[in-house]
Amino acid sequence: MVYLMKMTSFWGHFEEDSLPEKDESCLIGQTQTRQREEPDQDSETDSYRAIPFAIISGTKTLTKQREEVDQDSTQAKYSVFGF
Amino acid sequence: MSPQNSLILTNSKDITSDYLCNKLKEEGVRYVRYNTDLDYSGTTFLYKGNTPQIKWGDNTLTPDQVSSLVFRRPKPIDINSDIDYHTAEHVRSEWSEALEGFLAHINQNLWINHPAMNCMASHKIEQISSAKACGLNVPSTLVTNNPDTAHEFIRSQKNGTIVKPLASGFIERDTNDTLIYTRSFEKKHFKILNLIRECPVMFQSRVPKAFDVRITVLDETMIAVALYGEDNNNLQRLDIRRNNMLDVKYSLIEIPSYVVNSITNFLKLYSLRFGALDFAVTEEEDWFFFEINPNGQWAWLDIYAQAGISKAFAKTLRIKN
Repeated sequence: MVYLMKMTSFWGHFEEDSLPEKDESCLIGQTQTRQREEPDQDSETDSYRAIPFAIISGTKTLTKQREEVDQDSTQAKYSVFGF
Repeated sequence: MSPQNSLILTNSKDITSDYLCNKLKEEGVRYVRYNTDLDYSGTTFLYKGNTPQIKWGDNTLTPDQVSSLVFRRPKPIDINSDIDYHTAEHVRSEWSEALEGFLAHINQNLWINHPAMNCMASHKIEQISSAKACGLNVPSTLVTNNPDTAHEFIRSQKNGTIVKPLASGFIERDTNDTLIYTRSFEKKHFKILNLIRECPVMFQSRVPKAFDVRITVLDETMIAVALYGEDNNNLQRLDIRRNNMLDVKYSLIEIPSYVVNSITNFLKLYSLRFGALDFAVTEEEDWFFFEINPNGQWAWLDIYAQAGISKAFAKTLRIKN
């Protein structure tokens, strides 16, 4: 089923199983007990996708069709810090 | 005068921060490390008389004591308690706001890098526009969800075309997660070109690479490492990250002055003090820019290529002390 879903997608034709290369990031060295650095792209903190990880106090009001809270927690605050 | 410290703002599992902190200790650079995911639980927060203060462990810190701030992938606060989820979320947001309020007192120029600058520099398409404007060579690029436009572009490329995802090459699935590397667009792919209607795809002219280069910039320091890794045809492979990079060979190299100048302007454009940039160099020694990761990885280059990036950090952080 997953295979069929992949094949109906453009990127599905380019996807590769991650198992042989489960962690594609870079080795930091044997002295670090074989831990590895994470991938380059810091998707949690380096882009606006950071927002869901931070303060999202206004989000739920959207689904209840209320006005959002005054503070625009998704853009105007330091929630971009990502924690 | 209060003692000055570099603040390493990170998470408890970030091994690059472990590595950096060890090096700073060796170099005698004064620093404090704050792990945003866990350290809150031992933190006493105080805001009084226009000055916020945090105390944790043996450390007491006010914003004016921070000489530099290394923003190294802090994670969301991990509320570890028995309270219900929604209450925990509220507690998390209150802690986040308090800590962010502390951090907002720290001058933006002291950050490496300020996350707002990281955000601005994290969009591949815009990077290409800015890189070109700064004089860097960039492969001919098309991003579209229009199959006809893509078809025309692919047909016009003499050295072939590559495809790469815009946001992420990683797909989390219920069972086996999958990866998408930078790949060559082959004849057989024309029959699936219609599928790009689902989302825009990045197409680029293929650069005949002699080798890849990772340039790490920290303020005035630029360190370039050539990366050599072959494919099955003994050519520099399309995506150097394959095979966990286990077979990659590293070598420190010089950067041509025109590339140095362009990179300097490029980072200034985003007000970045740190950046990890990917390039390819052809046999003719033409340098092609691929992308910048404003919070990219670097520690492995210190270990495998003796790049000296941690020394550059020590130098930068010491000057500010």
